[in-house]
Amino acid sequence: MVDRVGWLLFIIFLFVVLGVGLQFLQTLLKLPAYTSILFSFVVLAFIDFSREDKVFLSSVFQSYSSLVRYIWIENLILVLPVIIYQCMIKNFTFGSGIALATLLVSLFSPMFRKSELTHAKRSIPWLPMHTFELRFFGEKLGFIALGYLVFGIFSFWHIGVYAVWILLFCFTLPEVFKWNESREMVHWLPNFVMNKVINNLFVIGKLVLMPTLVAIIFHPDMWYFTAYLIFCLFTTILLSISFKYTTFTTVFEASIASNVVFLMLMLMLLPGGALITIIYAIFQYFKAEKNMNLLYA
Amino acid sequence: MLDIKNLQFAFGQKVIYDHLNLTFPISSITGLIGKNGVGKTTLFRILTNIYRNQGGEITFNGEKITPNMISFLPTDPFFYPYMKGSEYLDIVACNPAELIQSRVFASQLDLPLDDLIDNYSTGMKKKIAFVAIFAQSRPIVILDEPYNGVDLESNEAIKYIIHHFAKDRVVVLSSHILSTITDISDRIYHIQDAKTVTSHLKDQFDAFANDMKIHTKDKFSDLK
Repeated sequence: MVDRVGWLLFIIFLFVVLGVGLQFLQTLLKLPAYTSILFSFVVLAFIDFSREDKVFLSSVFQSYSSLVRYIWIENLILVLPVIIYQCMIKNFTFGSGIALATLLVSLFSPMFRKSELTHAKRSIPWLPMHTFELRFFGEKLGFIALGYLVFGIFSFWHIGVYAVWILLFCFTLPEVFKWNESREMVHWLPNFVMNKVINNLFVIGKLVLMPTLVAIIFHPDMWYFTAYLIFCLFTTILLSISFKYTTFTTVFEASIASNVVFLMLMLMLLPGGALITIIYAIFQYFKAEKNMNLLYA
Repeated sequence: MLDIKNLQFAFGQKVIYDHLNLTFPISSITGLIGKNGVGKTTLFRILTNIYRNQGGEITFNGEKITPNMISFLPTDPFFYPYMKGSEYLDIVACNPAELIQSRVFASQLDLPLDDLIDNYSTGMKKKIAFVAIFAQSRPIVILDEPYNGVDLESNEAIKYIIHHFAKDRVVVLSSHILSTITDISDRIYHIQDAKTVTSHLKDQFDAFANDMKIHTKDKFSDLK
């Protein structure tokens, strides 16, 4: 239950951040207003597909219409910051458009349920096993992960696509590194956490390479913006892994640190905020190495 | 030999161990029994550095013990989500020999390695954790209630595996079912309180089991 509440908090955080952050980006990058509708739809659909409570909800709301109504109200509440902002700047059409996007997601929502407990899982063999957190998370998301990776290529259209793509990656990473592995899965060596960070940097670097190159080639004037986003991503990797191993224990299966990590990630949305976050991440890194030394050395 | 000398440990004011001394010889299996809350799991957590040693000395063959020497099966093992049994064994094994060994154990224990561990029953989770522990070649193996939730046939298989691999290791196990310990152990430590531990060798097990029965019978003599 606590885990579900944590997940809900994450979604609320994400939307508040996206609601404010996307509008900030929209102003900064002079994006057309209708992109708010598109972004809201994509993010809502992504989160809706990841929900694990749909089987439970469908047992409570037994008719299709009552289930859709419930999900729609939840989705509306989540995008409320974006709708309110659109109404404040007198973009009533786009505010209504976003509300309609929530309805569209809600209408299809009951048809897409997670089924990992009953189906054989789809493997992603090209992701190495030593980055198992990333691999298992990708396998769990399945086609969503693939779609997301392909979506990054569309950064040729607008640099804002790349910004949203990287920010989504950043805000997903704490969830990727949330779970603790069992004691026997850790093959401890000196500088264990650093090696883990480097391994993941290497793999994630390969995943983001193509969209980043596309963004740089098609928007060379925005290279500083692209560089800042990449810096944010690498900071997030360091922070997420360090925080996982700062609080790592062989007794509890989940890390307890996600809310703090999200707050630190939100800081990165402020201009230059990534510098504060990386200083914090480095501090956590040393704590993580110390904790792992105590548990394994 | 795993040697614990003058171990002291307390949770605040509650003293768990007050100058506890225990010895676990190599190539032997030692059972640890005691009432709920007496500190069996706490001892295991001290050995694996989950809890910090508050006093005393723990050595293995004369050298200070490090957690890396120990394989530990907790009472309720947990697993990384969305992972297949075969993937778990791939990650746990340090070398191909360990991987082959673990696959052999898994097939002997009828584990469906292509299924997600999330879908395993309690007993199956226990078994795959057990397989991983014995596949690793660490010199000290600690098993906290290894038989909990495991079916009868696998119980026997687990006993066999423990016996086979205890030849060159220190094996310490706890259980609340006396027969599962007496069947397999060379020695039993009965932890009674923070200071008192009684030791029983194999030829004394029957007498010890009888004493336990008589003690319990006396305690509940007024019940019909």
